[in-house]
Amino acid sequence: MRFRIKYRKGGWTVYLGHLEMLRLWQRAMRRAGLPLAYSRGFNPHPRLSFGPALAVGIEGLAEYLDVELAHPLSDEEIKERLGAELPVGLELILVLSVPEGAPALTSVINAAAYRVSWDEPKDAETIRERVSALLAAPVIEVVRSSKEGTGVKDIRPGVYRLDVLDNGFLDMLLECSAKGVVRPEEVLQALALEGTYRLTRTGLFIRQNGRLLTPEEFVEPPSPARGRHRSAVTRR
Amino acid sequence: MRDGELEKLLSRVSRPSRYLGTEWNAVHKDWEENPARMAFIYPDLYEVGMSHLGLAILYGAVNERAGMLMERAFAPGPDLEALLRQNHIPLFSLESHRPLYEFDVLGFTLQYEMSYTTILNILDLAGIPLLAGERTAAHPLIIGGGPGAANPEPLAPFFDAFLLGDGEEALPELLALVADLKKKGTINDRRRVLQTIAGLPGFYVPSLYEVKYNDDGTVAEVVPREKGVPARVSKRVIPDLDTAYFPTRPIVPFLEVIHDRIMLEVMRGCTHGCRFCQAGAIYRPVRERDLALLLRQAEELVRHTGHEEISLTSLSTADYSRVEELAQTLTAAYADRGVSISLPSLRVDAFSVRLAEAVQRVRKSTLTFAPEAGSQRLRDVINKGVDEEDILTATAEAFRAGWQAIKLYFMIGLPTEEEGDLLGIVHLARRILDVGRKLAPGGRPTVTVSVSSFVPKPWTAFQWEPQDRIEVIKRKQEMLRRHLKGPGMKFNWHEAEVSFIEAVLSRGDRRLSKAIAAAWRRGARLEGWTEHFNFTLWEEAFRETGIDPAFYAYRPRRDDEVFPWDHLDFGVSKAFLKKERRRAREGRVTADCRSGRCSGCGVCPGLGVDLILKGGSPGHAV
Ligand code: SF4
Repeated sequence: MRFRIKYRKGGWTVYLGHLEMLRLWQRAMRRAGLPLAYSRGFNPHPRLSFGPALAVGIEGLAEYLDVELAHPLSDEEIKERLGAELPVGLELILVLSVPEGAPALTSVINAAAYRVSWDEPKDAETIRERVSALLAAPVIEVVRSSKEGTGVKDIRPGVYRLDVLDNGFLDMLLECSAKGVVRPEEVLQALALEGTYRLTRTGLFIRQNGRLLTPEEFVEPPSPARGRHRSAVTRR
Repeated sequence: MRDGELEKLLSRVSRPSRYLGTEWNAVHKDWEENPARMAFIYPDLYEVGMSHLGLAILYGAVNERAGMLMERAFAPGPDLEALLRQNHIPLFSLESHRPLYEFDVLGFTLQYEMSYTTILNILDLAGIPLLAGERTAAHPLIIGGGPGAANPEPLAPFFDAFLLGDGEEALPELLALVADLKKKGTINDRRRVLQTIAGLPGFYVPSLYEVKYNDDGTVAEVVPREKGVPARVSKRVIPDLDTAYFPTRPIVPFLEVIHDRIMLEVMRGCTHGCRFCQAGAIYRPVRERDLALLLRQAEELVRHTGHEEISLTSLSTADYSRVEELAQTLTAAYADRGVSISLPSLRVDAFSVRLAEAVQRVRKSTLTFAPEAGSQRLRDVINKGVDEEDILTATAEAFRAGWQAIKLYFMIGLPTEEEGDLLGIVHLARRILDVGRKLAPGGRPTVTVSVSSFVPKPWTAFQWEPQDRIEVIKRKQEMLRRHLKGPGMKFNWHEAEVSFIEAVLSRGDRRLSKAIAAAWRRGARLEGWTEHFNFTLWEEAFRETGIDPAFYAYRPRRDDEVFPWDHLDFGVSKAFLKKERRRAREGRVTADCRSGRCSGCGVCPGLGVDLILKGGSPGHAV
């Protein structure tokens, strides 16, 4: 039985890296007495799979992970038992059973929403002007360094939306998939916006046929007959 | 520190999860409601400190009591240290992020000599004067405990008090006293406070003792400076571990620490009586825990931590008289819950291998044995009760059971060691590799020989012995390195310079404190990490302070010499150690007191305690 968990990563837990989160969840699930399903092989481990990793220091309002259980429990019971075993800052929002064969989180999630909130007030109009100019550009080049070296990368195709709020805060919807990731810092660099800010990842989405679905909406298995994902069915 | 301030620092350091203080089972007690406040400080990085069982025990033992609280602190990583210094932020505790100077007591655990410079660094980062004599009522009391308290003299000027022996009862007593003195308002009279602490059993207040020296630089005597101060301070012992506090809700770290598992303490102490081993001497007598109690504790620990491994800890777990039953019951109980059982320390015998096999369903890791010396003669000198046959049988059994890699620990520079003993290491390792080639599945075994250098330690039969000179150790290491080459053979060794500093500090006196401070001032800290240890700093520190380290490391002690720790009492009598030293020279072994023959070390009668075994005689003699 597979279950999808939606949670908030806030408070001091924003400083936990991906591996630390993996260990934390495994231990919380053991404490909660969830009947975890283990992988076979020499070193059995519980079957957990996470959505796209969140960089250390960033708060996540809607993060996801899937877990495999050996026998079913009700969504409510998992939520209650597991919720009580999480450290301050981590908050369980939703537990949902996922049908057998539903695609993995990382293979379907392809967009991430961020909010940039500035420590000192900014003039919304100035930012709006820069944003329109940026979105009008056919190419947005940023310098990106990786293990292979430093190169220039066009991030324009992965910048889906930029919305400026009246207080100057900036909402972004950026590509975040197995194929590519645009980092919010890169957009800020391209906008040449200085100052100290706080980043929040406000959501993860499946962007499909012009629609934005949340991972809790997108839980149906692929239909083999049509050979592609059916559009999701909204629960509740 | 304000949280906003900490957040700014955390986003700029590596592994910020070291400093959060919000791990599962961390205790956040109300500051105002608990007037006696202590921080437990492990003078190394979080990963090392959180692997220490003593911290978990004392943290729980204090925090379960009303009126007192304990928080934690560790050495910051070099990146955070730089930020703290740049921004003039004092070092803080994890739970409340308060500066360490706001606590009443700071307790350092003294696990190894190479953490001493880090202790000074932490005091300095906390804005606390290093010398006890320069501190006032406005400063916390600085206390130390753990194995380093077996000879705390090199640290004496920096500390207000040391606790000798088991802490789970003594520490709450100290904090209750502090609460009482605060209520009465007498806490501000530092002198009175120290005198009162000196009256608590197990607490040694170094400033109340005067050390007199002979012309040749050796200690003449250590005497109390005033009336009412005990001439000798005895260690504290919990006579029955079944009644001792044990934490079943230990903190579960966020980041991966060195020993990232449940530590189930099955017993305390060791009966083998290896003549170089300080832990074996100072933690006597052996006290085993009840099997049913251990099973209950294991269950609670699994439920409250969610850990995936239970380690059965002690100095020599295979000795626990009901170890088979314990290991088998736990393995059966937790197999399908994804929790495995491990044994950290094994004797070199077939029984231990069978035990390891029983708990370790997957034999992917290395099996480690410690023959300690390469020849039977030398193994008899050090009283390591194993012979070559034991070793070969055990390793053969291990290969047959499916292990591919065997690791062997040896010590070089042991008293009476000759070239033949060193060649014995080579010979033994080669024979084991040959056995492995025949028996190991796949036939491609590896044998790793890991060699440390002998460090003479207080409270052992070898406390009179000199250490080999650095050049000699290096020559021996080089010789072994030349011989232990080739397919399947690996060789590791300890830095000779580190062992030298350990030897200087472990048998040092108060005068050495100047060298420790000088080494720290030149930048020494976190010296347990190879990348941070710098021998040059120590050489300069000795030169600057006019201290001759050879006097401490290389000088054979006179038979009747007064030692800097002779006014402390860890139970083991000096007469017994002298006898053991004689027997060592004669190559005579001394029986394990588990066998029912007390060898008269003095601990049981001297401290009014008893050896506690839970399963009668050990039924596993091979
Ligand atoms: S006094 Fe005897 S029984 Fe007790 S620890 Fe020493 S040798 Fe063992």
